[in-house]
Amino acid sequence: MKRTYLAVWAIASATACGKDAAKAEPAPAVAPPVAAPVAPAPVAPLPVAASPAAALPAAATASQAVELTATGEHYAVKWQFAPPKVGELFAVDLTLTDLAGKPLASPTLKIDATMPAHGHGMMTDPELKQTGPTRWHAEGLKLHMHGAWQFEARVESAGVKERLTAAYEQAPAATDGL
Amino acid sequence: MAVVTGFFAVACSSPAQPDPNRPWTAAERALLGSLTPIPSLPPSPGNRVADDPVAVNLGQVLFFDTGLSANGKVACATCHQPEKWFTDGQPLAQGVGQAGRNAPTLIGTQWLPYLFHDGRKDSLWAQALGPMEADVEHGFDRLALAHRIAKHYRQPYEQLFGPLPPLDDLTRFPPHARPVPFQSNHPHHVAWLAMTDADRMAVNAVLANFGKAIEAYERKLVPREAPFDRYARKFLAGDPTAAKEISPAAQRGLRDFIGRAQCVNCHNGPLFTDRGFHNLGLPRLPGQTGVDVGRSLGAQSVKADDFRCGSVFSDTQRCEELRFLNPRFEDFLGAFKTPTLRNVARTAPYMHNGQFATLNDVLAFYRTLPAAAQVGHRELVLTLLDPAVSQTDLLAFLETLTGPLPDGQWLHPPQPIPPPDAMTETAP
Repeated sequence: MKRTYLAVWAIASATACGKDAAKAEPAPAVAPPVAAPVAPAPVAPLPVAASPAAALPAAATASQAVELTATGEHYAVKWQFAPPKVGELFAVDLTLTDLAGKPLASPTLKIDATMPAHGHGMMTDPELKQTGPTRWHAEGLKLHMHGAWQFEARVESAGVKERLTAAYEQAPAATDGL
Repeated sequence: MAVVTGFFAVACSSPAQPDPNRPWTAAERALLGSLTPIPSLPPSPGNRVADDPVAVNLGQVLFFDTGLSANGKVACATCHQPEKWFTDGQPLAQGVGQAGRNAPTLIGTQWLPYLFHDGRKDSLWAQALGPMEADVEHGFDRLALAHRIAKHYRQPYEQLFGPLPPLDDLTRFPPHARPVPFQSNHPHHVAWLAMTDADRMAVNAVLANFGKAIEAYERKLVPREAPFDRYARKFLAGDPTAAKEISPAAQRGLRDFIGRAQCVNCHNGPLFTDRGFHNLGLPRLPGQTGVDVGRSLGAQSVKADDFRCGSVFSDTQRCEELRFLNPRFEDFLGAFKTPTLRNVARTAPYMHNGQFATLNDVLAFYRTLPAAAQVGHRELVLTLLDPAVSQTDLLAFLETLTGPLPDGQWLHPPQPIPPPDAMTETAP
């Protein structure tokens, strides 16, 4: 699996100021094998909860749906969901089309969400079902840690495969998340 | 991780030590607010008597009943001692024999979707059934339990759950029987197989109902407001008296906890746990043979458990947590549940196997992260604890998470416990 390593701990970095950058970098026991860009390179615009500060008034963000888009060479995927709380199950609606916005011929779609910096995906197996020519609905996603996640869609239609990713910053757990 | 370094290098331009009086950022305040207050008790849809006072009382008696053990000496309270914040203070739990893991506190477990260090149960009531029949814990069996309930607790039991099966008929309901995995010749197992399916189901229901009463009592064991909560509430409200609630060292420790020490990555939310499972890469114990795979086995077990959410013994069929649980999640190997840090200064020793005697030892481990994981791999995000973080400050902060014990009425049996019944036979 191709991995990119993003700067995950925006909050940690804010409070880590003053720590010598070299000191801040003890080698992890299992070091990521590759270097990576300094800043996240999102495929899509970051959602409303892009920064911890933005997540502060939970009530204000809870009602705002997140929309992530990822456009590849062949296909375009749009993810829509209410901002999840850390460790809570949530559902997403997906729209999958070609670049002209038209339905695909007999498409197959698989989805996942991963934390590239942690080298893991989700602890859950979401259930995905097609609800229309371009529409899918998935239940059972869970982002069990705050930080940088990457939503991933694997699409195949007429023998053409493509993997589309979109970055998402999960806000920390809030008191009302329990 | 090279990225993180770069990010720090870009983001940080302040002196080597952060100014302890620097203003709190919005991000820090958000994190602080996410750690308090203690939320209200969540429902337990799988247990229809979870909040029934009769069940609470019955569960409280049963919790302290040493008659529910093979030797008449072990109760739930043996390993979950109220005065020790419902732990036993020992590295490994001591029941009829020695268990393989540490007895965790019960305070704060009410919010957890999975119980046991490996999460092999998905409710408090189902959890309570495991130690009952574990050879090294209560060493008991579900028939003996049913007989004891019929003899000593029939009235409250039947008020809550309806008539008990005709346990007086010892040909149908022998004094001792239970399924014994991997020991088909065990007399308890032989006796269990000799029962009819219907009778086995009836006894299983008694066992499940025992657990539901235990859970009803355990739901009273919620954490109470700690000095940290008072500090955070006042601080976020701009109350200048906040600083009187916890020491300056604890205040520094708190900022490190949510900041450069990165403890909050996993110890988050008002219970100070992400309720997830992580592989810390703990050192091998002296003389240890084999490895504990932890959550990877626990996740498989809970999916197949006879008393799981949605089973015939559960009072709900809405089981999204279990439905979507991915037992093949790669990082479950060697992972154990993130413990709550509420009251952590009172719940030594630490880790799933109790291998660290003090919080100092725990922090020393995080400073060195010795050796590689015994199985699987260490959580990638877990990096060495910043040497600049003061151990004294972090410990001072952790101490402020100690709240009072649950109300005194929950710390002892509510009524005299019947003496243990004579054992008519013992397991080999």
